[in-house]
Amino acid sequence: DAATPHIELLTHGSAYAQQLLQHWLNMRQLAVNLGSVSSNESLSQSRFAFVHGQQFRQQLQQLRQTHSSKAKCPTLLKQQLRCTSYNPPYHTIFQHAQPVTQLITDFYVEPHRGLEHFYNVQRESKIWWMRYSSNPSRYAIVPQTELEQGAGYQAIDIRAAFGDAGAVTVEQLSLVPLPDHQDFQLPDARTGQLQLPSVIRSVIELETASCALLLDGCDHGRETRSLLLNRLLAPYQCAITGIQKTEHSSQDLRDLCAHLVDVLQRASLRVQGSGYVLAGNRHQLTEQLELYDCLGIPYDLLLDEQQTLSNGLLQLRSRDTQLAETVHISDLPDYLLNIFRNY
Amino acid sequence: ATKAGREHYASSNVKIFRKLPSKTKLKSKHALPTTSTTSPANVEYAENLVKVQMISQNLHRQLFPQAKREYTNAERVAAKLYNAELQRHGIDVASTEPMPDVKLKLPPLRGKNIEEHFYAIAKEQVAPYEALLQPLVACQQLPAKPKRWAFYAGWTAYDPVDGSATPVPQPLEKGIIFDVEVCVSEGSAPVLATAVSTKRWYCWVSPKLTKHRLSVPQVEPIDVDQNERPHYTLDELIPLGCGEPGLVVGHNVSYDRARLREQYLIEDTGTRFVDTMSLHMCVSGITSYQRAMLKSKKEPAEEDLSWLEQSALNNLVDVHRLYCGGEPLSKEPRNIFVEGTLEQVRQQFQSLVNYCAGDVEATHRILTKLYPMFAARFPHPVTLAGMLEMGSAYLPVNSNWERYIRDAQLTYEDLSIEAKYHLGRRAEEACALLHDEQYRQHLWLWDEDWSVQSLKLKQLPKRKQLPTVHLLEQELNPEQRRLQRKFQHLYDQRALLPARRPLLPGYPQWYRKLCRKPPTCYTDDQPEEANVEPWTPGACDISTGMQIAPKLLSLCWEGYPLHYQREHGWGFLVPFRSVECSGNSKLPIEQLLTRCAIPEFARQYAAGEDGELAMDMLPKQIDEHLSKRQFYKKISQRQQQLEQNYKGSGVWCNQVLDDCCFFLKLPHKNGPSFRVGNPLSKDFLNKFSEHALSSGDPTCQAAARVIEIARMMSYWRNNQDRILGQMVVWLQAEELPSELRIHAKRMAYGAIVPQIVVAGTLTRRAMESTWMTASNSRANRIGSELRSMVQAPPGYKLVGADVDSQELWIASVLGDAYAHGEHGATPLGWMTLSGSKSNGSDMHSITAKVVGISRDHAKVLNYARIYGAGQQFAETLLQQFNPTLSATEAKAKAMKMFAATKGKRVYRLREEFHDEQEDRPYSSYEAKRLALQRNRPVGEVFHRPSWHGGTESAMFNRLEEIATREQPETPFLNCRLSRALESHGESDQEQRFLPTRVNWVVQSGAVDFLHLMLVSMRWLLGTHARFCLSFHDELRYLVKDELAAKAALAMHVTNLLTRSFCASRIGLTDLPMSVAFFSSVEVDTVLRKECTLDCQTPSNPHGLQIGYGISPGQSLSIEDAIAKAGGHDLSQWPWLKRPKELS
Repeated sequence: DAATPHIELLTHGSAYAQQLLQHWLNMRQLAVNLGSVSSNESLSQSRFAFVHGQQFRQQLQQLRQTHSSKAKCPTLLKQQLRCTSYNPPYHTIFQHAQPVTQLITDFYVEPHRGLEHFYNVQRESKIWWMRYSSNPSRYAIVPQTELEQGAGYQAIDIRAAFGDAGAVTVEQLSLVPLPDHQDFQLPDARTGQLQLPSVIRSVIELETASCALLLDGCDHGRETRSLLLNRLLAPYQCAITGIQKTEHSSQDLRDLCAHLVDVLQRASLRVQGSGYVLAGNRHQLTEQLELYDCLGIPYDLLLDEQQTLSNGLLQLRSRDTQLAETVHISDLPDYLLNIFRNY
Repeated sequence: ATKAGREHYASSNVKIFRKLPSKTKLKSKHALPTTSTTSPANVEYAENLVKVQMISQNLHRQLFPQAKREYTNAERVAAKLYNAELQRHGIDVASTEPMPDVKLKLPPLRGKNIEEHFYAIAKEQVAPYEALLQPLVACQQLPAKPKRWAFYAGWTAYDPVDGSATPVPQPLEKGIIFDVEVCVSEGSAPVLATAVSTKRWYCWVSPKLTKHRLSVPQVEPIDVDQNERPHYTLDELIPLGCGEPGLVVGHNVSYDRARLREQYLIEDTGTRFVDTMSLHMCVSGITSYQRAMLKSKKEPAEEDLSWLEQSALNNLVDVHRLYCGGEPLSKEPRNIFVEGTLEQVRQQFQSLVNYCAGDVEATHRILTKLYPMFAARFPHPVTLAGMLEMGSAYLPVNSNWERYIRDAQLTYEDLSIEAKYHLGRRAEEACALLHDEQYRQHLWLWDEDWSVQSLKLKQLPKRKQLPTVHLLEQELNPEQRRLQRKFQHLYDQRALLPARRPLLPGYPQWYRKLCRKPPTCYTDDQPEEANVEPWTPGACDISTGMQIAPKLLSLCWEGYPLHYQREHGWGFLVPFRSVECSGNSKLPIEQLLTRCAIPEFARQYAAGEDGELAMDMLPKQIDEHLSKRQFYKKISQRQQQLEQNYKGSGVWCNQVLDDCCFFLKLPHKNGPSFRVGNPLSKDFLNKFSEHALSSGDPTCQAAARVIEIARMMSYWRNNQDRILGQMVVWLQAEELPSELRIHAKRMAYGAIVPQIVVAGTLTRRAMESTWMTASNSRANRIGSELRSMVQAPPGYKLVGADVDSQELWIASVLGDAYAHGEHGATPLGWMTLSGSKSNGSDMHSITAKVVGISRDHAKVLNYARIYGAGQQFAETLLQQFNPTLSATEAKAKAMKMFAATKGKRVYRLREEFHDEQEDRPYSSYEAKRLALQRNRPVGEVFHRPSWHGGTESAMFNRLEEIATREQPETPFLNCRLSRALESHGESDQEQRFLPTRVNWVVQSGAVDFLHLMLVSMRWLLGTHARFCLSFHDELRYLVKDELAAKAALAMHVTNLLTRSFCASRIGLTDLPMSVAFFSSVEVDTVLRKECTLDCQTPSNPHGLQIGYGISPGQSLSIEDAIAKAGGHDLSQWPWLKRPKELS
């Protein structure tokens, strides 16, 4: 489609996508992770055709061989698919240049409870997206009834809407009964009886979804030009800025900045780029803060040469409130770790 | 329907409708054999003197065998008069279309007529239970209570002579007085119970109590998460056995019933319940005002003394005191059941069983006194039969119940998180206003507390070494170590931090109030207690219920910014003065004026204002208790002018802020004297859509969303406790009928026994807190699909119907019978019977036209009026429907409506004054004046006033005539009004509770109607239908699939029989066709208003069909029901064929 712009993630964007990937891996931790494969299998138009593909059969085989204790119903498989040829979803305001990474989760569930599970997964997934958004009301579950083929099949998209501009599909969910074949039978976890499960497949296109979330961070209607990235997903969680007393930088201030960069990094907090920046005057400081806001860095530690070097009090400035609170050097890094705790 | 041909007969002035021969299959089936000389189709048709179509001839012959359908000349002459009156009210009696005739063969009536029939069948139905009840009532001395209670699990019987204890499977007698105790901390299951029959005492003890070691075998239920929600099975409940009819008497017996094992089985066991609390309500029930009086500790007023002796609150202690007197009952031991543990119950077993048995004895004493009074005041057997039936309600559920609760809870949590998130974001954004004190210009946040705290270190103590903060040095490289050591002295100053660290130093106070203190250190693992929410940064303690929420959302009323004042609650700011004049105001008047120009009415105020003078003109205090008229007299002209010129719905409260703007209160639904505590509450949410309430910030999409969310959440917030508290008992496979067992593998089946008080109000309407108040499913209410979660098991159907405008018909038919002895002879009667929504001739459409409001609103107003609400109330309602309506306009509309409907109140002179004064109708003003001239009370000079000239005048005259009798009785079953409301001939008492009593006539009449239906259904279907639930005018039964169509037909016939009985009781020997049958009977698998309702809600987004796989039900008209039930001959139904052998 010529009208749909192709876009590509740059360095910061890719770092962001990596964070999203990590969070996807951490979600639904009991899943069997089959790792990453690349696929040349051309995925046909139909949402439900994957159950007839080679890939799908292999995946089930792999489950039986490597995770036999989990080869029962219900169970959950994850894998990443590197795709070179694929058909992007409809109704989207942009698409990402190929190849793309598909994050695939397959739920094998008892056939008679398929619908119930399908609705639960929809809800869970929607909430997952909402939690990362600057505007949770942006996300909607959009039924794809025109794709459905008879009883037992269901398809929905989770879409992020951007006002009049349109929407981006961030996740596709489909419920498919498996073809009647011995290969697909799994024992029921409760009764041990063999049965033909239904599959709920979730497909997230990592790059496209990352772009959508980045766009979401800009689309907040505030006067500031902040990029409101979720603090857990932000590729850089904290910046450090030293405020000089004079035009000339002092070794002590630089040492203190370096020390704090070290403290945060040792605590596995993600600190921006080269570590720290020094501001020689108010104007420089304002510019620096604006830059951090635009990069979506949620917090900036401000070290005032006069004050911090004498008593250890520093300012923790928030991107979202534009205000700074006073903290003591001994509060670090615990205070920040609490802020960035993944609950 | 086919159009009828019309012709005149030479000898008659009555037009005869003749139906053209029908072409449809259905009607040709109904055609009679051509024995008559007239054409075959018109023999069935009949209409009365106001052209209301009456039931088909064949039905009339069966129901009113003695009555002839002929009119005397006198009747025809009278008809001309009331026909003219109908015309005067704009009714065209010829405007109706005839309905198809219905042919039915009913089983033969018992007795000579429909009245005898109902008496006979009800008598027969209650006979087995009366036989069990009478000995208990007559029993003067209960058997001796055992000295010591045996601590055995299950039932134990006690010998009345030697007190010896014998374990029994269940009480040996079928009639018992019974009381259950529950240990609340252990859930809803019973722990012990006592019962007494006329022969001996019994005690039941839960195995949980006796055998702490014995575990009741746990069978893992399917789909029911045991960890989260209590899960009850039959094993924990008390068995009473089944088979022959049994009778259980108790106080609030439905609570005890819910703990009886057999009550949860799908097949009815024939046990019925007599509730002494309901009997008490029937005999001595009270109004809510009286209840408040009884509860208050104040010295009663003199006029209240007479009824205070006649009534009591509903609890056992008060009821016992009222009827039995003597020593007050002690409720002290009860606390152990409420607060204690099972172990404490074990320790005090003897005294607790004695306490329980004491309640049983008290219940018995009450019964012996109360039941004879009940029997005398409620003489018709249908009343008792109906109450017994109501007390056997049963709601089947399945695994979907748990899924529903889960879905509703999760949706609720999701949405509350979303709302909280939006508010939190708005709060964060608002923080930035602290820079350069920008908040001073903010229209909503200017008066918040923007003060900031700072974090300061204490003075460094002289000559004292600070303690060293220990920092880890392992695994550090030399450079890291160097830096750490270099700044060690900064870390050491931690000791100088204040002991109580300020929260968020640098942030405004209002924001800090929304945040929580962070944990002091960081640990890797999640907090230990799972239910403690982890700390998160930012405004986490924020919700739509908080005062800051409307401000963060920048809400406006009629375009003016909302403002909160402690004294007046929420209101809004209207500017009246431009910026030059106002001095050092804190209020951002400049911004206010940029947003809202000074409205015209306020401009006048500012222009005419002259220093302090204007302030004096505003009265200092408006006494809210003054009546409207006095109020208008008292306030200054200028103020009055202001109020008149202001067209909005804000409430003036005499508040001027900073000498530049008015503060007007938001309108409260209960009237102007109330203060609005939260503009995001349920009552205001609807105003949001009407654009009275809106967000003043166009970029704030969050406001609309937060309001939407609040609206979705309100239902579940208000109802979740009751819904979660429903006691569901799950049935094991072997407890199900054999056909159902195969389904039990995938789905759990169970039931809820709703705890209905069968006569819970003054009007004897049943009461129950969850199901009887359940609203219909609405697209924007979480959990409102509640009722559809009552689901028939496979192989069963729920059959039922709504009685179409039941109370309206009752009220109007009373008026018709009283005024002219003819159905539809009064305007209200005619509209009820023949008016139609489609051509705008029904009552609600006509009121809507007269007042100029929507039909839905007119409907509410009409019912309010018929229930006795006055003009004042109508005004409040009108303003509630339309907040922009001014008080004057509302008053005018209400007056217009009352004049057209209720009519004028007129007084007629008593005969002895006819010589002195002209005998004509007098207005109440004239009547009072004339009486005053004679120095006598109005009642001595004039007869009781009556209503005149309105569409409903006849009805109100009839209702007031009944309501003002010394001993009012319902017109259908002669049920007496509660003793607490009888006037005993005192005229002040007569007026005092008049609206209540008028309302009682209709509502209590409707209860009679319901009881009659229950009796009729039982007669027509016997044990083949199980009563499920009835609320308001709805009735639902559980029947097997194969009998569903017959049950639907039985419902239709029940309506016919019940209405015929009611008509007959008030002297009418005919019934209009339009009310003879239900418009439809629903045959469905779930409980819902209409069988096609898909009940989509936020918690059931896909609807019942897709989400739960539940198909729509069927809606059967009388014709459909006849066709599906295998023909019109009910007398051929096997169980009705030979009633003697089968009954």
